[in-house]
Amino acid sequence: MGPFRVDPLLPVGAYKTYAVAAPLATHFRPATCAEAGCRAHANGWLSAVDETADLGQGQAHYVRCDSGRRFVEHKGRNFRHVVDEAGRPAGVEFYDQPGMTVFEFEAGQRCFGRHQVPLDRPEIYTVRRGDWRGDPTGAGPYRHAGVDDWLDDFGTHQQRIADTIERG
Amino acid sequence: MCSVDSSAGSVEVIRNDVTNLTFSTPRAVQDVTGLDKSAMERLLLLADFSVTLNGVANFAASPSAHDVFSTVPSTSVARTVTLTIGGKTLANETLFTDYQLTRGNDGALTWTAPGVLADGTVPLWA
Repeated sequence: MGPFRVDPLLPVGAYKTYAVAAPLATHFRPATCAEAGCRAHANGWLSAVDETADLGQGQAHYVRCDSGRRFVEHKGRNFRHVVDEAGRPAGVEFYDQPGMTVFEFEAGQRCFGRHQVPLDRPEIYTVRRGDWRGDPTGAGPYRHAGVDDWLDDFGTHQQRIADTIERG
Repeated sequence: MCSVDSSAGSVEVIRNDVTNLTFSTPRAVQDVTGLDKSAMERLLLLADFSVTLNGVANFAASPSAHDVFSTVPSTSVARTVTLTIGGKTLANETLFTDYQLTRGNDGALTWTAPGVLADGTVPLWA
């Protein structure tokens, strides 16, 4: 199922789409927590696992025996995020929950996530017929030679629409 | 560079998380404004733009696109989407309608945030 969108007012053929692409495969590289500005790395983090289930038992085993991370263990406890009166994050609070274990990891360690940062490669600038519903012509995108051509094309198009609206 | 306002209105640079950005606009004035349309209808049609941002989930990073878009389902605020490319800037007021996360076959977690122009003001490069 696709994301929820507002239906366009016009048929797909009445639109054109300008795009900037930086594909993950070609324009990004894996990065360390520090490079990505990882908050778990900077501040430490909490992981709650349910040791009454197979999944949680496996996760707990991995943390204790194979993860190589430094942590403090809170057995029979869980945690939740709390907010202040204005709805802003205000830390966490622990509470008792049999079967749960909270692992508290200290800062400065590699988190369990994956990070990537962009390579400084020029993005891909294209224009095509249609919108998110597809390309009615099947012609595919036209790739501009460089950013200047794409900007000129896009800017001229937008200005033409604005001028038309101005005239009424 | 790509930045989007958070629901609180602060500008967040999320370039590191965005892999694709599309901007769909009426193609040609003649094509979209039939003779049977009133002048007001024509103006509305001409201002029908949509934006779609795609990227990779990077929950732990700061700032992150997740910080910005995770409030889309719970808020109804127009956010300024600003592109700065080649010394030019395009800023438009956008109402995002979804923030969808998808786990791919390769294990990568990606997101999509579609939106529409919020105020009928045609975005222009400046």
